This record gives sequence, structure tokens and C-alpha cells, in this order.
Amino acid sequence: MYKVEAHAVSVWYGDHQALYKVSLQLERNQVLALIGPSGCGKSTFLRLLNRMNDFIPGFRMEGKILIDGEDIYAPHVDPVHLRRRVGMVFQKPTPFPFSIYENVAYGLRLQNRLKESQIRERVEQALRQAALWDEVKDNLKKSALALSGGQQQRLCIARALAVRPSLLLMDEPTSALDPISTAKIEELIHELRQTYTIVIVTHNMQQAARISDVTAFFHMGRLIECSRTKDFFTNPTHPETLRYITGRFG
Amino acid sequence: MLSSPRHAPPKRWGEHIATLAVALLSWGSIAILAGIIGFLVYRGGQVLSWEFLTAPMREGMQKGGIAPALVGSLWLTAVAILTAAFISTAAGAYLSEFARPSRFKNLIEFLVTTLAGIPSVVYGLFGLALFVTALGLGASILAGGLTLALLSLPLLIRNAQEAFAAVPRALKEASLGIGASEIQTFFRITLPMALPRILTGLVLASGRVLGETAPILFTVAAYYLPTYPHSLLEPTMALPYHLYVLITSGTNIQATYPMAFGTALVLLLLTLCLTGIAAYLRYRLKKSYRV
Repeated sequence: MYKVEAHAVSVWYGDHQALYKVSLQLERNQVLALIGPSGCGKSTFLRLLNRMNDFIPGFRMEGKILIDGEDIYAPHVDPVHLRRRVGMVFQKPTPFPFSIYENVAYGLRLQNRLKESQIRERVEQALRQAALWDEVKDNLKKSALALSGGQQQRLCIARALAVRPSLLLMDEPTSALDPISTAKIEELIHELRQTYTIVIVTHNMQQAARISDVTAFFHMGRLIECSRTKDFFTNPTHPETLRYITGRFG
Repeated sequence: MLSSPRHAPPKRWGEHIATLAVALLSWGSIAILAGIIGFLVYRGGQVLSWEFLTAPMREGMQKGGIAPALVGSLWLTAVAILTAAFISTAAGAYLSEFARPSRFKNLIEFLVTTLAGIPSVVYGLFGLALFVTALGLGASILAGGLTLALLSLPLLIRNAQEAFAAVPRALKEASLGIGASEIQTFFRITLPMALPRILTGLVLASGRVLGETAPILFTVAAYYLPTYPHSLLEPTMALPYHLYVLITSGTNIQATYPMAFGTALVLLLLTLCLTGIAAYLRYRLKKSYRV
């Protein structure tokens, strides 16, 4: 069974059609990179996977999206529960104005009544997974806003991991970061793919080539090409993909 | 103010005159404000004393203090702002966070804007008809306080709506993305982050409510009642109306004139205090909004 399957997915915002019959499959513990020029629909596709588009007025969708074989747009599915299984990291770091500890504990306090000792355990585990523990373990009570941009983004990854999702969505997670912080996040994605399936939107083709197993290229709302990253960059089948990865547009 | 660069090109005459005019106008308005405060401090300061603040008025309001009016005004402001705080925060939250764009939402926003422009004496008449008569509250602190709450609602709703809208969308999405429901996101992220702004609005509104005369005229204010209220269903004296009485309808206006200036000074100082608190809250807000 695939981790993620999209079957002929089309999306409209009001009268504007943002996606045209997109279909793709992603296997467990793989990293899928979504690339393409601005406004191509890659972020729209990403936000379909945890139903974040539901909040946009005029949003309408056709087709099917399955996660672990389950239709996530079926009427009985509660999007709030879905989002606990599908974590998300945004373009800009979005720490809450709380302490580091409370930021990571945020998702845990929302749901099942965990004991404080269990929460402490899960916070530490999440911070270790996000490769931030050693830098903050003595300052857990400090405000998260005092961290550097790169640390804040790893904190947001820890916050997403703490609720133990199985699928992790990342929307250009390094576009607001310096090269060193970017390298750290990329290294982290490499580690996380052991446990998680990851879908990442990126503007940066080198990044897609470095970190992903599968690459999907979107253009004007259509999925132009989706293949193993190795083949995608060395031997693209579609002329438009070739033009994009050689920098002739976008 | 803009400082001119070291090698600024020579200014033309028109510019000199315009700069001078702007400077004169701004210094002029500051001077007028300082004049008003100075005048009130000079005239009111002559009667201001501990007794003036803590004792009831006596001898045809020519002697004693203004304590019953001061206490009455504080009660009225408290009732008005506490009531308005809940309603305006809820309404602002609905308009900013929960209502989907619709004709109905536009209609409410239009009504809120319109209500803000209605003269305060009309609110007084409405309060008389609704609270005093129809609901049978009589001339009472409750009736007057609720009328003042109505008066301050439009601006407070707008303020709350803007406070919620100013919380970064990214943080609300981050909370939703972790699996918080919309209600959880509102209470755990949006409301705490909007609170400083909402409080600032409430403090400024209490300054305005404190000085309103027309809405309390028919609903609560007593001409002469030198006692302290025991319940919210009693009428009371209030500072702005007391001031009006001292100047226009006392038994010996010449003799009550100095008391009027003292009352005005107390009103001014209270309002300045509230504005100061609001300024402090804004400063705290600036420090905490580093996201």
C-alpha cells in the first residue's frame, strides 16, 4: 500500500482552477520534493494533504487523496484528527510566544491527557529528533522567540514531531534561513526519513536533488513529471522539465 | 521629525513658509492643550485637597468634596466596561475569526460603523426607553452603566476585531496544523496574543465613558445625593453631571464655581491616568510582538 495516493485531483479557488487532474503515488519512508515556478500549484497540493485548504473561502476539490489507503476527504474524516497524523512545517519559522518547552508540548496538551512526566519525555524525544536538544536542554524555560531563525525552524519541526505524525509536510522550510541552518535542516530531513514519510515543497532544485527520493514538477496547475530523483535530474522525459531544470524559465 | 542631510540643496521660499506653518500649527496645538491643563490645574488646584476627594458635598455644594460623584462615576465606568468587554470581545472574535464572508457579515460591520456615529444623547434616550422604563431598572447605576456600555460597543467591537486580525495568520495556521481545532486555536493562541490590544482599547474606552454626560442624564445621574450607593439598582451622582450642575444649576453659582474647577481637574487627572495606562500597555505590546 502506498503512503500517499492522489487520483485525478483538481482544485478550484472560486472560479480560478489551481490544480488539473493531478495523480501520483508515494511510498512509505520516502522523501517527495515538489518543485516548480511560483503559483504552479505545488503548495496547493501540499496543503491538500492535511486539509489546510479547507479554510480558504471558495476552495473546492474533485478527485481523491488517500493516506494509508484512507480517503482523507471522506465525510466521516475529522480534519482535526487528520492533522495530528500529518504534521506540517511552514516557510517561515512560527514559534508561539511561549517557552521552548511549551512550544513542543503544545500539540500534546491538545489531545489525550498525558501526564506531565510523559509530556516531558515526549518533548525531549522530539527535540532530540529535531537535533535541537543539545542546544536548548539547559534553557527549556526560555522564550522560543529568543532562538535564532534556524533553531526556531528546528523547534517547529520538533513541535510537529511531538504529536507523532507518520507523514510530515514541509512548505519551503529553509527559504528564510541562512546556508548553515539550511544544511542542518537538510541533514535532519535525511535522518527523519528513517521514521517518516516526507513531502517537501522547495524552490531550490539543488535541494530537491540532494534530499529527495522522488521529485514532482508542477507547472501551471499540472503535474508535468514525477519520477525517481536520480532519473528526474539526469534524464527527464518531458521537454518542459528539461527547460525548467536547466534554468530556461521559472 | 526628518533631519535634513548635511548637503541639502537650498530650499525654496515656498518650502520655508510651509515648514514654518506646519511647525507653528503643531506647536500651537500643543500650546492650547498645555494651556487647558495649566488653567485647570491653576483654578482647580485651589480647591483640590484630601477632603475634596473623600468627603461628601455640603452647604449647597459650596463646601465639602465630590466623593459621592467620584464613587458613582467609578461604579458606572466599571459596570459599562465590564459589560462591554465581554460583548465586544465576543463580537470582534466572531467577525474576525469565525464568520465566513457573507452579506450578513457585511451588514453587521456596516451597522457597527453606523452606531459609532450616533450622538451620545440618542444613546441616553434609548437607555431611558429600554433599561429604565421597559426593563424596569429605574434610574440606576445598572441602567446608566448598560447605556454607557452600548455607547462604547461600536468602537470596542472594531478594536477587538482588529486586534484578532493582527495576530499573524502563520501562527493560527501553525496551531491548526498541529491538530488544534479552531476553538482551541482561538483560546490558546489568538486570544492571548490579541489581549494587550483589546485591553488598551478597554482602558481608552473607560476614559471616554468616564466623561460622558448625555447618556447618564436620563438613566442614572442624580442632581444631589450625597450618599454612597448600596446596590446597582440605586441612582448616583456622577462627575460630569455634577460638573454641569455646579456651573449651571446650583443654588449659588458664584459660590460653587471653584468646586466646578476642582471637579473638572479630577476628571482630567483620571482620564490622563487611563491614557497613561493605555500607553504603557501599548509599549508592552510592542515588546511582546517580536514574531
